[in-house]
Amino acid sequence: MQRGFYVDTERCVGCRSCEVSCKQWNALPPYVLGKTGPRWRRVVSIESGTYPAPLLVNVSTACMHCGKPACAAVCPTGAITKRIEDGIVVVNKDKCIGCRYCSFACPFGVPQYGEDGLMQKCNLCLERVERGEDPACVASCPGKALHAGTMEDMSKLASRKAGRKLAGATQPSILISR
Amino acid sequence: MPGLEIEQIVQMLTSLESRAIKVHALQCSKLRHRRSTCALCADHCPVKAITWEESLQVDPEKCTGCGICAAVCPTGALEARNPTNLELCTRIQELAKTETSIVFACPTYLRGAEGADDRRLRVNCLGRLDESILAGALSVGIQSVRLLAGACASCPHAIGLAVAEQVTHRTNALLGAFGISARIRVSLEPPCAPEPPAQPSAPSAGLSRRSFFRLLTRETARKAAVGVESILGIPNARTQKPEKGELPAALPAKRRLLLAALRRIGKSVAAESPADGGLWARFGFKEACNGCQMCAFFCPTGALSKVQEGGKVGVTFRTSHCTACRLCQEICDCGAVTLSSTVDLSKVLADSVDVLLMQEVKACPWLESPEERIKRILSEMFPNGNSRSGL
Amino acid sequence: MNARESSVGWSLSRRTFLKATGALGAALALRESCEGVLRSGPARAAAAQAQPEKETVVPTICGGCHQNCGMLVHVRGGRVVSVEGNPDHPMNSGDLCPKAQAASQILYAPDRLKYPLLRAGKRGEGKWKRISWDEALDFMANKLKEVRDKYGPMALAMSTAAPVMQCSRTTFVQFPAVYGTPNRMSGNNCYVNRMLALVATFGYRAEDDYDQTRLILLWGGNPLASMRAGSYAAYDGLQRPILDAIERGAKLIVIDPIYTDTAAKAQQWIPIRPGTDGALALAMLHVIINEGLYDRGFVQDWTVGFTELTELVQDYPPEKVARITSVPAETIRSLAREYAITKPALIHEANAWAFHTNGTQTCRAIACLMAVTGNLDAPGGPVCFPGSAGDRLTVVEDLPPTVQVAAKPLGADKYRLMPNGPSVFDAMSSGKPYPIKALIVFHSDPIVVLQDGNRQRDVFAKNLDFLAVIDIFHTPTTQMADIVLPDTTFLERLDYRHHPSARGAIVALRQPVVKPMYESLPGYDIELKLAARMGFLDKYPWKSGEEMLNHILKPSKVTVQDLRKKPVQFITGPMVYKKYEKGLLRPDKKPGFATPSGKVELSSSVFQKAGYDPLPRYIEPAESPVSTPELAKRYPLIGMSRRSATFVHSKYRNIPWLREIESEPFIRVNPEDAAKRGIADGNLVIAETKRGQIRMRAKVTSTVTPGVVLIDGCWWKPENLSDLSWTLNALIDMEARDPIGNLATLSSFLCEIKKA
Repeated sequence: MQRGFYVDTERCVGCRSCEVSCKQWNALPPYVLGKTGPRWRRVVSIESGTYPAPLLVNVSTACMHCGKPACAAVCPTGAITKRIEDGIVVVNKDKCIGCRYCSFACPFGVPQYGEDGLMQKCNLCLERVERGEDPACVASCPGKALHAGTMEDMSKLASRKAGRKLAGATQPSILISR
Repeated sequence: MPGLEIEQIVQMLTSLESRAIKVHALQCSKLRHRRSTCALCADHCPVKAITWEESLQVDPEKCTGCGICAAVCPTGALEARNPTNLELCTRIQELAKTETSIVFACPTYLRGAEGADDRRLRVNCLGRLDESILAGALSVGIQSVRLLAGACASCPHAIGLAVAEQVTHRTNALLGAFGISARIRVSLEPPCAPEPPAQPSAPSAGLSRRSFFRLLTRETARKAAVGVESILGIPNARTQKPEKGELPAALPAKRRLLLAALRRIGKSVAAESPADGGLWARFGFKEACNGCQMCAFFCPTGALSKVQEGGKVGVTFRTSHCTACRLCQEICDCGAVTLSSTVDLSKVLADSVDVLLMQEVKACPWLESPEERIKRILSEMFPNGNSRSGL
Repeated sequence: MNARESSVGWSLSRRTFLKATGALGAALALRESCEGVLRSGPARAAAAQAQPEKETVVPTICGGCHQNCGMLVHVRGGRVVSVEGNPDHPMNSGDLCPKAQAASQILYAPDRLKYPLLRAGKRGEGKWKRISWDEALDFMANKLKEVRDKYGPMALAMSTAAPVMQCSRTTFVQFPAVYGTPNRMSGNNCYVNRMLALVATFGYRAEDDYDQTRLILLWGGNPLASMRAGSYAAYDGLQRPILDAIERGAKLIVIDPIYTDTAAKAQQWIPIRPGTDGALALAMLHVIINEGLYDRGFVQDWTVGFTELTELVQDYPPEKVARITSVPAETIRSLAREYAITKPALIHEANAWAFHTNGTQTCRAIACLMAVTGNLDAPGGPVCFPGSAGDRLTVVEDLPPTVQVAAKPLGADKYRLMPNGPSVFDAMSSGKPYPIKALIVFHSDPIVVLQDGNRQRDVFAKNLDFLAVIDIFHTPTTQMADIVLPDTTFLERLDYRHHPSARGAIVALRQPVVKPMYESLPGYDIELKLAARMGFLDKYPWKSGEEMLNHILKPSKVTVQDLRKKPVQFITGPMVYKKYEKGLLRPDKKPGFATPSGKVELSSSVFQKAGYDPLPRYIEPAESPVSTPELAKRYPLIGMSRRSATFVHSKYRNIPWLREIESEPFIRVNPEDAAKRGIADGNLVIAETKRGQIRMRAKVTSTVTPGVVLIDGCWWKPENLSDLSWTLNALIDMEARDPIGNLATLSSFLCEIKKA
């Protein structure tokens, strides 16, 4: 049963709580003066329009845990795999050689490379999900804009707001509603 | 390659390490990229110590240390020792002071020859010889080389003869391009006293593990590189520590010896290397190339390196370092890599580097920041305009 | 990665190899390996390996901002490894903002103040000598005695922070009273004059009853971004009540010069000229009263001064106010009608009303709007939840000292309703009516937060005999101190928080999750130790922090011990609406509101008695294109202060995870204004007022009204504590103030920007 995310942009305020939540739960290294550390979750703020009719939309994104993950397809060492039981795309750091093949294959700019040069990315908080909990980003979302679960459940949630699946050849597991 | 993982390849290859074989696992193209179809070692292993069917299997118990795998390995992942190529070349150099011809023979062949002739150089199997040794001999003044093959047909190492013949042919062709007519031949002569080949050499497990571990530290790697360099005079393309996000690449010792030999021989008479030489390939690319530079990332010998110049990404190609392993071509996602079998010999001798620029940096989305990338995609989902203004 | 690790070189392959070689002894059979998969982040996994002890989870409350959300802190081997929102806390229901998420970085920040420090160089030089607590407290007590002997007790002033945590309201309250000074330099920066106006008008501080409302008017507030839906009320989620109301079909209208994150969710955004909100409110009242759209019954039964108000609003027809506010007259009319007709409707009490020199009367005008529509304390309106300021059932929010100081605080003659604050700084700089010679700063950074940090720095250096700062980090203010004492963070301290909510007033416990790091001490312990050295202890009804908390909690009838058993407790029943009908708002238990007249005072007797206009007449801001047209020629832009939920006030600019979100302050400017000045997005610009200048990068954005610049406020450079070029308040001063609220402007000052 494929798991994925649903972002309700109507409820996302762009506070970036999810970003920090992810960083602290996964203990990702921080900003060092002028240089950001890896961010598995990124809130994208899209501003458009002109005064007095501007438009501001925030979309919280992470790994899309694609149905056909391009990163895994190109990975030369088999370090990136897609779990059969829940479709979560995971990286085995012991196998990654840091070639960055995945970064050019991924259409969404998800793979990131830490100080060790190895690929890292969102794993949907595997540890938490296996315990039946929401990933850290979802659990802390102050707007309840971010949801995670099986794509079936996400589709049900998203259908109330005419949420759409993000289109793409890799079949990203993310629904977004305006 | 179902189920085959790096660490397993490493484990298996490493288990081969013995007095006869040294393993440089990271040089193995299979280990560098799972899409490599190379299986030359397995294809040539006479005793099936290395097999490749569904996946790589290694049975160190079966290994007899013949060294054929090392001769056929294009990337130097397996290296024969006892003697090593370097030791053999040094010995040949000694002999060249007094001799004009040398003879190679295997222990099986030599077993019956009491008081064996010093000029008969003993190798575990003729198939263990490679171009660097044969050309090396001629480069230090040896006029003719003979490989004594006897009862190969009945020997379990029979395939070694075929390898030796191929190597001989290639070397002669190469030297022909340097104006040296064929002086190496394989002679079929009756052996002194045909006997079964030696028992498998016992792998020295404890040692191999430790030495292998040591090899991994940068210090040792660098020391080794410096040591060989001083003898061979051919620098390794990447002797310095690899950057983060790079695989270490090393030019195999046998290639360094070959390059040193060719330099000693001097200028070539032909412009190009022999057509079926199999020693080099000329790297090129088609329009389909997207500039991902993965060919350079995975190149095991340092022939290819990433480059970014004048707003374009590309690779540098060092002809002399190419060992025609074809890994670049096999892993190219766009099918854009072309390899032609002849190369410009002057480039080999001059150790020159070609710069091939492939793609505008702008056209490489993976080079833009991940933030920009995702923003671009999502912006398409949210077109401009707001109908909720109060004015 | 540290130097040692990176020196190994391609550590990636090395690790691969280590693993492989380590497994060499094992069978060579294929193994389905998943061990390297990052189940949780690398550092977390490493921590789990290094500290195999069981992870325990401690419920406590955050202290990042005023909300004090429920937090579950994961502790392993005595170290905090991560935090989560407490799903059972009525404030946040599991939500957490970025600050809370960064709690462990705050606790373990390498730049924490670790020991008492004595100044070893000149003020501002940043040279320190580590001393013991005994030395520090002896030094401090001696200095305070010296000042008292030489200048009298009134020469000491306190500076404490916004009530972000209970401790900032209750620590160092008793001490100055026993010492004999009523003077406090801080406190007049935002909510106090709103509170003054609302309480003078209807006796309580309004909270928003989102869950039952049909119209939300968000006026000068950005609660979705600040994650503070009400003043202190708990709504079972930080942004939930507003977002749910929108989903339920309630209309959200945002009035703000800035298209804020909240405006982005609104059905209507009405940009307005900064500082003219009072005029808009009066024009709305004009429409509502003249068109008879007000709640006649309520006005008749429960208000006084309606005739005077009616008369006043005749001066503010929409056409005239359109010219003042730049909101079209038709928009004003439709807004007024929609607000009056939609029932119930609420106006969120917002921060920005008070940030102008006409702030208090603006609040009064808006309070009148709340009242005449009959929404007060009605379901879905601006209500007085159990535990709200003004509710009789409340626990003691501020700790009244048990010792009364006879003397009136500074400024009491001029600012009768709002003494202290800038008036204390006046005395400190002029020596009149008497000098301020000693300042104790607890949990606050006045140089960055209060106006004109550069001048404060000079005055501190020149006129103070003694400055003590108690904080968790060095700040620009600590640089001027004689002595700096290390405070504990909210994760190391016993404390509590109380919240109003529709379900009842809540008391929640903050328990120490780890032992205080280094030599840090909770503020109340520092106060008690200092009091002991001054011989004040007999005037303290408590002898420990816990006793102090129990003293404060008395009205709630729960003790710290009770809270240890159950850390979040409701101490009252649920909300009762229209309490004014039931005699539940006044201390005398009669029906009515807690005002002198017992009615909603549209014309305020409190203001009249204090010598102020009893009616909320509109006055132009002290600086504006209208009031100071000459100045506006040189400085044509109106500057506003921006704050975000990434930080609170001046806090946490040194916390890496937060700096990653906002790495530097920005000046946000409309593309039109930017183009005129040749400024492109990302350019370094200088913002200048007649008082000073700052340098920041520009963000060119259509979310800002032309003619306005939005400047990130309360910034400082942790990298260079003496550099105030990122600090907005260099642009403003304490000269022009709200004559009632005694508050200098923060959000309508004339300025100009240019490319640096």
